Amino acid sequence: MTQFSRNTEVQGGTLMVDPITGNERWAVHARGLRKRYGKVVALAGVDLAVPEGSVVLLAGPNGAGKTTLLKLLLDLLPPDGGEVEVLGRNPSHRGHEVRAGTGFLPEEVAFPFGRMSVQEMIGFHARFRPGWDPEYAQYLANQLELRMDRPWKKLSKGEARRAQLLTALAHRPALLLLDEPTDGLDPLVRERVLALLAEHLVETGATTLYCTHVLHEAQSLADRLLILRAGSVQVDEGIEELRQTHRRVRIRSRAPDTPAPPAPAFVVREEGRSGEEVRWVVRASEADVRGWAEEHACDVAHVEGVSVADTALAYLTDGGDR
Amino acid sequence: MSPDSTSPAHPHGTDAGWDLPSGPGFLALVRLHLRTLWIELPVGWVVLGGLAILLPVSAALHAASNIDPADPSVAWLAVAWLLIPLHFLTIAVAFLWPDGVWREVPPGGRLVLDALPVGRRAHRMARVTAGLGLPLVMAFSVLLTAVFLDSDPLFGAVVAWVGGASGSPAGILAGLLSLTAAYLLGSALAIRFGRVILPLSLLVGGLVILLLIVDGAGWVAGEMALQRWLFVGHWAPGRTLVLAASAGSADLAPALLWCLIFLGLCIWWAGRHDRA
Repeated sequence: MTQFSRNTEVQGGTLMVDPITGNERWAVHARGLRKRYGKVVALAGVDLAVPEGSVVLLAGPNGAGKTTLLKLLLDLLPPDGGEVEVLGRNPSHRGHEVRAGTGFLPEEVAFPFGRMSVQEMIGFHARFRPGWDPEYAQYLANQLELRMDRPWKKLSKGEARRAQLLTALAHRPALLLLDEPTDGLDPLVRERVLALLAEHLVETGATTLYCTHVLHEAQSLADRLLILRAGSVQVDEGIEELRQTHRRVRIRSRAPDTPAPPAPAFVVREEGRSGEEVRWVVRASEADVRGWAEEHACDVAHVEGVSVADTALAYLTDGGDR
Repeated sequence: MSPDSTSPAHPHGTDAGWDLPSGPGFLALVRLHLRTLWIELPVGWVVLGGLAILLPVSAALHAASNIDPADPSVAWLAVAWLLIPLHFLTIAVAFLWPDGVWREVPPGGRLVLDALPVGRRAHRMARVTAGLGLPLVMAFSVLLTAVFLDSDPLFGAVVAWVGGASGSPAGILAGLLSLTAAYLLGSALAIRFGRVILPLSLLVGGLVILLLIVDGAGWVAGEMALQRWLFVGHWAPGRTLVLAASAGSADLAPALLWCLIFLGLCIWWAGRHDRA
């Protein structure tokens, strides 16, 4: 697959467990993080603890505060309150060190020097990164099929996005902050980029915050789901835990022409209702659902697992804040 | 995962074992952005750089020849008359370049630079400093040309605008300092207000209105004092910014003083508006 071994060190070390305390290290740790833009609340006291090596899928509707959160972690914006530590540093005091250990793919496809070729743009970034790996950068350039002599200003959005991705990965950062990394990519390139990201994460073990609206494409990479809504954390759970606790069920009232009962507390989202039948995404065990159905004179017509993307969607719809 | 088990309350962070080397230092950043400027503005460097060499060489050849000053060639006239627009073009670049550095041009571009592992303040100052290179080369060329043409009586009136005191090395230094002061004032205004032209126009317009008010009030002593302070006096900022080397004497001290004042403003405002 690649000439880089699985043991390649992440910048700053490979330890997943603190050898002194035996505890996991928090790559990102925030408490009560707040940010406003005038009267608009972007983050309303976010608590967050991301263990080293974790890949977090960061989801939420537009304006939920995802991009603001990423910018606060890099000290690109000052917080209005709360505490935050990234890679063991307070970004407000040691932002340049935090940025040294971070690969950031911003939402905006921009570079201030439009005449630079892709090669020169990559060289520009390399000079800022002591841990830059030129061989790995070349490997990424080949995989991403970058045309190195093209001036930046003549790149399509997809080409520019791929070049940006290279600059985020080639110094093997301990932390990756990816804001809509596949935005503007065609389906084929998107697949290739996702495969490359998966390969990178397996090899480096980098802690990752992957911010996206296209949840299904990244769910296989992630081990945690974090949903921001209206500036607050609505869901922060492990992917496995979500898979085990959430399911899609179809409930049918036993009495003919009797509508199914209203949704109980364990329903995250009602996906549809027609006559005596209703479809829900629930946060409950199958036994609990069957017990509830029995009590309410209903049958459980169907039970199935639900994907992480659908679970997230359930929480993101209006009914998701039950 | 619950964040309660540890606290991020340590003011500078706990380090927690991550070894994170920072990016390049200030001088390396300046070098990097000089190279970037070369890539971004190749025509500007070639054209202005060519003029920067051509002008003083032509003037030196003219000074060495025995051409009748009463009957100069068109080429020599062109050299002489090029000096003034070039001088003001240099000053305009000095004011406008920092505008582009400190504003978010193009949109999102500043985010990319701010996300690099160096101090933002140092990085922007390095960009501003690197941008000073071309105007300095031009100013040096203009002043050197003026040195050669200074002895020519025909061109005396022309070069008096741009290099009346440039017959001495101190005159050239004063001219370069005045340009640097203009550059730093442009930077300071761009940092503070996000633009250069508008606050500069307001500043100049405000001073003119102030002069008119003083004049209208018939306060001759006040008008004289204001004019002297702004444009004529030894420490006059106006003369320092535009005409420092044309006053018949090399005013190093005021040029240096205004350089330091504007540099201080840059650093102060950069500190306050670092995250703007």
